[in-house]
This record gives sequence, C-alpha cells and structure tokens, in this order.
Amino acid sequence: MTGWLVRPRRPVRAYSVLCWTAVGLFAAVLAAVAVTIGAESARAWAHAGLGFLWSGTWNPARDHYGGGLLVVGTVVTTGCAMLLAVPIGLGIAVYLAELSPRWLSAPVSAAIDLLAAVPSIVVGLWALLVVSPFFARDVEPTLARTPGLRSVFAGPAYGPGILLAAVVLTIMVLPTVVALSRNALQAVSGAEREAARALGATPWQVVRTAVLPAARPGIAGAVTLAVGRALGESIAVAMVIGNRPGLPRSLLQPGATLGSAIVNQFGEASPGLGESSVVALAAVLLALTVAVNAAGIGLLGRGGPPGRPAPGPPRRLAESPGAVGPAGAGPTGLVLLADPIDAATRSLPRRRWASRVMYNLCAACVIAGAAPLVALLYYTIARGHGALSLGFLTQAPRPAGIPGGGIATAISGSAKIVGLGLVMAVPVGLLSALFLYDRRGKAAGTIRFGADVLTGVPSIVLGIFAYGVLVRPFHHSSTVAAGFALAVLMVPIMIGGNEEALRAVPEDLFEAGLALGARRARVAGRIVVREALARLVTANLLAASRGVGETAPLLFTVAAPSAALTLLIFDRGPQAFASAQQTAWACALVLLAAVLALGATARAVAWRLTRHQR
Amino acid sequence: MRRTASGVLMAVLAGATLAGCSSQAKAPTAAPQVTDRLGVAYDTATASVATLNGAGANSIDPFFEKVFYDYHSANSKTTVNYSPAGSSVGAKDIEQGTVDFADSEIPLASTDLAAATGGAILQIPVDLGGVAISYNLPGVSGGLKLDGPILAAIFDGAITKWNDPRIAAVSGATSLPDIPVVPVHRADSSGPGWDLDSYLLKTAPAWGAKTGASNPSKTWPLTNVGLGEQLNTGVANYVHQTAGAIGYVEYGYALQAGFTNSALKNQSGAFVSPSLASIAAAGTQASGLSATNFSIIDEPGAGTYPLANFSWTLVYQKQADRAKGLALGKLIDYVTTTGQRQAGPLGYAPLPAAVASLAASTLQQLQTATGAPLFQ
Repeated sequence: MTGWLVRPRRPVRAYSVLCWTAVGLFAAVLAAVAVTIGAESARAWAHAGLGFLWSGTWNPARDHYGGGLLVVGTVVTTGCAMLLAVPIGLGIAVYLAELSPRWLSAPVSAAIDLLAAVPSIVVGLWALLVVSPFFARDVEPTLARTPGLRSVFAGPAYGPGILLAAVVLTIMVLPTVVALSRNALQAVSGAEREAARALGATPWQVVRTAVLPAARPGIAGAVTLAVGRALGESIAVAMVIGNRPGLPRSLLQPGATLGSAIVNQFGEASPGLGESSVVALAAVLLALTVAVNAAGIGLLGRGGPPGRPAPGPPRRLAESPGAVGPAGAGPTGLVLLADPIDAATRSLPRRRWASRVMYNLCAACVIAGAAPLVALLYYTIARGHGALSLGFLTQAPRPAGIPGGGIATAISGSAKIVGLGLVMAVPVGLLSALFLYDRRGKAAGTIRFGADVLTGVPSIVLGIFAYGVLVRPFHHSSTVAAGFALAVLMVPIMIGGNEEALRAVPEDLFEAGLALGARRARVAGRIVVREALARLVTANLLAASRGVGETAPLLFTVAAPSAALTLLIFDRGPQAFASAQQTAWACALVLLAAVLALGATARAVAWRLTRHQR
Repeated sequence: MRRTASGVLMAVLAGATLAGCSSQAKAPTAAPQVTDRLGVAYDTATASVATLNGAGANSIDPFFEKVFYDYHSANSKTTVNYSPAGSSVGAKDIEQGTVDFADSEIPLASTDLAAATGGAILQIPVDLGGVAISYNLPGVSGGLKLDGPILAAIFDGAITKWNDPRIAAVSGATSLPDIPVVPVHRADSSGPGWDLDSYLLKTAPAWGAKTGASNPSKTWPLTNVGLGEQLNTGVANYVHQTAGAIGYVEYGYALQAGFTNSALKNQSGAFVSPSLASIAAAGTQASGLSATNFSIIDEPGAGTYPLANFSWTLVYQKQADRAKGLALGKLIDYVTTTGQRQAGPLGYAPLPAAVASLAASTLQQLQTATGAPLFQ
C-alpha cells in the first residue's frame, strides 16, 4: 500500500546505507553458514558420495563414515515425538482457543509461551536424572508386559532410548504446536462459528465442522515447524537416547540421531576426513530442517499467519452436500447442514454426549501436557534451591571435596557471551527489520525468508559454523566465538520480532512524517521506532532469553565448562555423586529463572503497552 | 609454603637427572620467589598474567581440577581452564593449536603427531590411574571376580543375566540376582575404552574375532551391545542409577561415586581389585616407559591391577609466547611434582620416581620460538 510513498525519492542517505549494511551483513552470514558447512563437508561427500546418506557404518577407527542409521534414528525419534505431540498439542490448542473459560485460557496460554523458552539442557537434565530411572524401573517394563504393545516395546528396559528421547522431544515441541495452532484456530473468523452455532451445533461440533477445517493450513504449518525443531534438537537428545546407532526394532532400544552424533563426535573427530564427515552430518541435518521449515513457513503463509489477514480465494459458504471433510482451506461453516448424519440421525443427547467426551479429552490433553512441565519445574526448584546462597552465586567453582565455591564464573561467562551476542545482534536485527519495514519486493522477501529459515536452523550447526570461522582460524576458543554463534542464532528471531513490532505502528504515521518533509532516518528513528519501542524491546528480550538457554553453540566455542551456565549443567549433571548433581540443579534453577525473567519482562512490557494503547 | 613444597620435591628428585638444577634452589628469603628444578627463578610477584587453556582426557579431570585450583591459589596470575571433553578432543585441539595444552590417556601415535600444525609435540606423563569395572547390583556389596573371557562375554552380549552360571563359576559368588546385565560403554572414544579393549584382546581369545580388530582402539569396538554413554560421568551416572548395569570408569570417578568394583584376573592369575596400592603396583611394572612404550595393561604380580595407565599431557615443544611457555612449563612441573600429593585422595597413584624424572627431562626440552631452551 505504501509502495509509491516509501520508494526512495531522495539521494541515498546514511540511514539507507546503514540499513543496507545490516541486511548485507545478515545475508553474508546466511551465505557463510551454507558455504562453511558445504565446504567443510566437501571432503566427506567426495570420499563417500551420496552413499554417505544410506551407508550404515560409522567407524572412525577405520575411516568408514556413513550417516544412514543416524538419519533413520532422527526420523524415527521425531516421528514418535510427533505421534505424541500433535494430538496432545492440538487438544490443548482447541481447549484454549475454543472450549476453556476465558479466565483460564489467558494465563495458561501465557504460561505455555513462557515454557517454550525452557532451555533444552534443563529438560535434558531432568530427563536424565529423574525420568530415565523412572522409565527403566516402572514405565518400560510395564509397556513391555502389556499385550499388544510387546512387539513395539521389546527388549531390556534401559531407561535411555528412543522412547525417552521421543518423550523429551515431545515436551520440547509441545509449546510450539500449541502456540501456533492456537493462533491458527483463533484466526478463524467468528462468523463461521456463529453460523454453526446458529444451526444447533454443540461446542465440539463447532470446532470439528467450522474451526478445525478452516485452521488446517495453519495447524499443518505449526506441526511442520515443530517437526523442524524436533529434528534439530541435539543436546537433550544426546543426554537420553543411549547413543547406539542401529535399525530400531523396539522403541525401548537405545538409538542415535544426527544431532546426538554431532554432539558426541564433532569435538573428537580427527582433522580431515573424520571432522568433514561429522560436518556432513550437520549438512544433512541442515538440509532436512531447512526443507521442513520452508514447508512450514509456506503453509503458515498460505493459511494466514497470526494477526495477518489470510490471502487466498474468498470463502464461499455452501458446498456440495457430500463434502464432509472439506479440502484445503475451503468453506466449512455450513458443512454441518450438509452432513445428514449429524443433522438428522444423531439425537441431540448423543451429540451433547460426544461434545462432553471431546471436551474432557481436550482438558485431559492440557493435563497431559502440563504435567511434565510442572514436574520439571518442581524438580528443578526442589533439587536446586538447597545449594543457592549468596556465596554460591558469587564464588568461583571449586574442585569436588573442597567446601564452598559456586558458579560465579559460569554466571559471568554466560552474561558476557550473551551480552556480546546482543551487541552484535541487536543493531543488525533492528536495522534489518527497518529495511524490511521500508521496502517491499524481491530483496525484502528473500531476506524475510532467509530470516525465517535461519530461525529454524539447529543450534548445533551454528556451533560448528562458529568453530569453523572463529575458533580454528584464530587458534583458540573464545567468548567472542561463542557470542558470535549466539548472535547468529538470535538475529533472525530479532528480525522477525522487530518487523512485527514495526508493522504494529500505523503506516499513516510514517507517511505523515515523510509528507511533512522529514528525512526517512528521522521518521524511522523518531516516530516509528519510538512508537514501536516497547514492542521492539519485547522482541529483543525474547530473542535474548532464547540465547541465554543455548548449549549447543557453546559446546565447541568455549574454553571450559565453568565458563557458561549451560555447559556447567552439561558437565555436572551426569556426575554420579550428589554435590555435583546439586550444582547442576542449582545452575538449572538460576538459568531457568533468568530465562523466565527475561520472557516475563518482555511480556510485561508488551502487556503494559497494549493496555496503554487500549 | 611454596618453598617448602619445592624443597620436598627436590629432596625426592635430587637423585634423578636434575641434580645440577637443584643446586640453584636457593630462594631468597623475603620475596615470594620460587626456584625449582626447572632452574628458572619464577617470581610469583612479577610473573606475567597467563591464562592457560587445556582440553582432553576426562579421566584425569578430578585430579587436574584439584591441582589447578591449588596452583591458582598459590599463583594467582596463572589461570587454568580445562575442558574435560575426552582424550581425543584434546588430541585434536592440540593438533589444531586451539589449546595451550592437551591431555590424553593414551599417548599420540607418530601419525597423529605428524598432523600437528605447530611442530613437534612433547608428551609428558602426569598421573597414574586405573579403570574400574563398576557394577550396580542391589544387595551385592562386593566379591565379584571376573576374568577376560567372562568380561568379554558380558560386553559382547553373550551373557545377559547376572545369575548366569559362567559368572558364578569364575566369581565363586553363588547368589547373584536374576536381573539383566546392562553393559555400558563409552559413546565417545576414550582412554578407559582403550585399556579395556587392550585387556580383552590380551586375555579373551574370542574378543578379537568379535570386534574384528587385533589392535586396541579408543573407540569402543562393539557399540551394538548395551548402552553408550558420554564420558566417565555419563557411564558413572548410568551405573549409579540403574540396577544391573556394569561399566568401565576411571577409578577416581568410581571412588567418588562409591561404586562396588569387580576384581580382575591379571597375568599372574591373581584376582585384584582396583585400589591405590594395586594401581601403584601396575605403575612399578613400567620399564623404559616412553610415549611409544606406554602400556601397563595386564602386567604380572600378585597385587597388580591389570587395568591401569599413565595419563599424558601434550604441549608444543616450541612455545611462541615465552611468558606463556614459562607459565605452562611451571604448571606442568607443579602437576608432576608437588601436585602428585593430591593424587591419592582422588583415586590416582603418585607417579613412580622414574616416571617423574621422565616428566622432568621432557619438560626440559621446551623451547622458545627460536629454538633456545625455555628452561636452563
């Protein structure tokens, strides 16, 4: 709409140069990720060819490298996670968007948004120390004894294995599924609901016949993005999957995924073919996630992302009588009418009964989804709080056996790394978003797509990238390299969030400013950014909270475990004695508090703002 | 206090190759200055600030953590970061030059050394440790004895239950429970894995046929049996929380976790449990120890534990940054001398005198960028 107004009419000014520089930097990083991963894996591809993808042998001792079993393991664990996450997540989303009382839906939704930020290392720690023994002792033997399930859950109950990894992934992707599908459900117009209601549909029938079909593309997008996230999760999976590549014959069997193998192998892979082969695993993972995420973005775009009107053909109301299952984003509201079974043969009490059952099922999904998260929070607090004291937060770590000591170096290290990442990422994120705000067209579309895709790139891949461009060439691991890895992770999140924040500012303001003869930089800085400031802060805080909780990008870029909270958890968590485990829990508690505080602050800022605007 | 420490170490080592150097050990009384067998006055007040980054063996970590902590307490200008990510990580990092020092449970072979980007690498023995075969059997508080063939049968999946008569036959233990055996191996490559593989190759005729290899490997050769866990900590944690689990962990970790450990049959036919004494006994079997003749697996002797090894610290011979090189040399010298006193309580045996002097003479080979000796 703004095209003719915002097209540059004046000579290029510093503002424009800055924006272009930022976008150029971002594009360069995007390209560098692809080129680095491609170039570093070239030797493996040259050595093994495409056979790398289906050869099952991974034996560094004999220079045999094949990623086939790891691809299978990745697909199987992700698939199992989706079997759990999609029904539960959809149930929760439906409950929150359609069935729950309003007073309940708002706080639960907010809690789910916050929990999306729970760092994977914390989930991994909890799964390793709490869930794994429980599974080995109780859950897995029971499954193995249950008639009908025996063939799927056969063999010894180890604890760590495909099942446990799938459960961990489920917990990690559930917030994504819930939040995005809830948005998709809420974006369905009220008219369709009311039409169905007017025709006498029960609450569940409204959902089934009017809302779900219309929201289908959005839900598909949500599921696809969740698949992308599950594929790329590495740290938490490596902690609980049992690290045994093989064709899965039972879900209790230990397995391995691309991500877990990279975590275990990259550090020690010998320079040359070995390392190149691990990077080739990263390349496969990158290709998989980019493809899946691109599909997800496409689906969300088609169905209309939250808040934006859905493009596409105008909806028609009636369709031919036989079309019970509406295809695509087609018209739905009156399918009820056309469904003779529902309308005529089913009595009202039966329909009410069905509605009740579905209502309760959805509520059960909320409990099923919330239970692990509540348990996770409970254990982190219960096992971590005992170690917390002023001394613990302000003293450097001490070796086992020496009383006192704390996690001060880890706290300051994490703060330095994230701070450095923010210094690099915030300007690029803001200027790139201004660039996107200002322009339509191919360049903007490409950058936007690039940002969306980079958001879904597994963080372990970014860790390898930072190692390749900053650690190896400069001969030491460093805060700078770790901060850079986090910056690359945060920038695309910031671009997306910032752009949304800027778009929330009425365009008239920008145009009015220009019409008064002000320079673009002035309009952008004084009017648009100022007006959007609270939302921008929110977006950047959310990105920061994501960065604080990351482990994988630091794994190959930081000198010692005591130099970052997440790494200290990864190091102390699996120790087999109480004091080290307590340190890990306490770190997890501090980390969780930091992440949730950032997220809560971000949302409080946004909330105050919207209230003010209301 | 440092001076006392220095005096003690000199008393121990005066007879070794460094008699000449020790004559310089006349520290001025007032200044916090330490002169030791490396022969360079090291003024802790004027020494330049150095941060030394290291990476490598996970097995040595409890020892390193303690010794580095002590060293930093006495020499606040030297800060040491150690990433215990595994021997192979250390080997790679030193080859790539991304760390100042590395540590490997198994010294690097000449082919690996050739890949190093910064020239010749010195390998210095810094501790003597053992690998425990730890198990978790509720109600069984010890007494398990295993030999090579039975251990091989456990780790190749042939024995699946603890009450298998083959275990009872060698162990003499009669009442082992009827629960599954869960063998745990290292998912990453490791020194303890090399040690156990080496022991099984030497003592269990069928093992080599199963693994298809005749030389021990740091990467665990049979990954399709049991469970793989990352680092000693991962294996120890799994054994700790799972009834029926058996795994190999550095003795220091087993000690820390309070594990019950199996006695193993050594070359003389004696069943020996891991302990400071039995690991030290293995250390005394080393003769003509060097980076190419390092194995002390399955040595003879009534009290010799068959799974023991020296850990090796790796540094570049030529230190481009002289100040840093000095700090590094001093640190490793401390580790191999005074620091050895910390070994016992943590589950490592102090270095035998001959090995300590090998460490000292190797450190003497450190050079500046131009090839001049760093310590004279």
